Amino acid sequence: MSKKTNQTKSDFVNLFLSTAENDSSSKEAAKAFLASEGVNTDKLISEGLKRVKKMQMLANASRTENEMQAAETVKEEATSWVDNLLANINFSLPELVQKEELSMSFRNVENLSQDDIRNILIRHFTLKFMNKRNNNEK
Amino acid sequence: MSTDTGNQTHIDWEEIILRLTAFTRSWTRGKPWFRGEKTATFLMGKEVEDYVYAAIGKYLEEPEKFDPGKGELLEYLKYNLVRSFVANDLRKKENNQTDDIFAQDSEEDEEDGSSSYSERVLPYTAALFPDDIDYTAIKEFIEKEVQGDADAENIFLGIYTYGMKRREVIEEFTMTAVAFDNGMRRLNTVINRAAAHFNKNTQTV
Repeated sequence: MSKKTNQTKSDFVNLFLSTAENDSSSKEAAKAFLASEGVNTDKLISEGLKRVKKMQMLANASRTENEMQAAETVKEEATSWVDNLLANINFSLPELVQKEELSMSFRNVENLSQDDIRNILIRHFTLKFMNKRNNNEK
Repeated sequence: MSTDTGNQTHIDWEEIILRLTAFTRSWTRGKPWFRGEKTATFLMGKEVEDYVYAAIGKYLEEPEKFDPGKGELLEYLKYNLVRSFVANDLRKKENNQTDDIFAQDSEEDEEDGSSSYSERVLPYTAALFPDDIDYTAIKEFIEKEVQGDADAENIFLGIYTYGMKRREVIEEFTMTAVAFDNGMRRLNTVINRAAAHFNKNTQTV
């Protein structure tokens, strides 16, 4: 097809599209066009809003489920990280507290059991890995 | 239509539903040009509204894919809707006219490119129109048919020849919005006559 024909076709399609643009150029224009087509616009709106709300709820539920699944994966990663850390013969809690700025969480370290320490560290690294993941996604 | 207030974006869904449905109904009226009046397959057994809500649903599932820098939400939804029509059309065995370039249509195309959403609608729409129609003859047919109807003539001249938008035509030819809408309606009647006159698909599926 020659360039000229292409241009003529494109001009024509533009004209065709402008009709659809004009019929939907504003809320009022859309209402008038749809009414002329025999569409009950009040019903279209009320049923449409319900449909959108349902879709929003489904999308939110799906997003929450995905986030929970992602959080579970990150927690498993953090648990494994902490267990390896605690098993390391060179592990030093005071050094880790300083490095990770955890002094607030370990204020009363003498009252904490091994399980308490492990749980605090898992919570800390879960949050840290999640933040890292979120920043990478941005 | 959508207002950004800090972290919260309010979307006027009532306006989106009305305008997107009107756009889709009007847009699919073009099917006589590329599939003939009697086609039963163009909508793939769905209603126009199904395409409207599929486009909205796609946005709700992945709102981050919408880039406000490339246009309004309505333009993005129109673009997605037109793409899904074209993609469906590609899969139909009776389709032998859609440009091959769109056979490669993929998710990457959605994210690619710096063009605005409204600019992207044109090539997707054009892909549905056959190349072997004499568009010059159609132009001459329409020009002849609108002769003597000043508003329709000016609208045709403004949109077809100069690629103007509604607002630009109204300003350029100092006509009222009502005069434009009425003139456009008459021009559409002529365009539909042209479809019946020129399109080889008019009587076929």
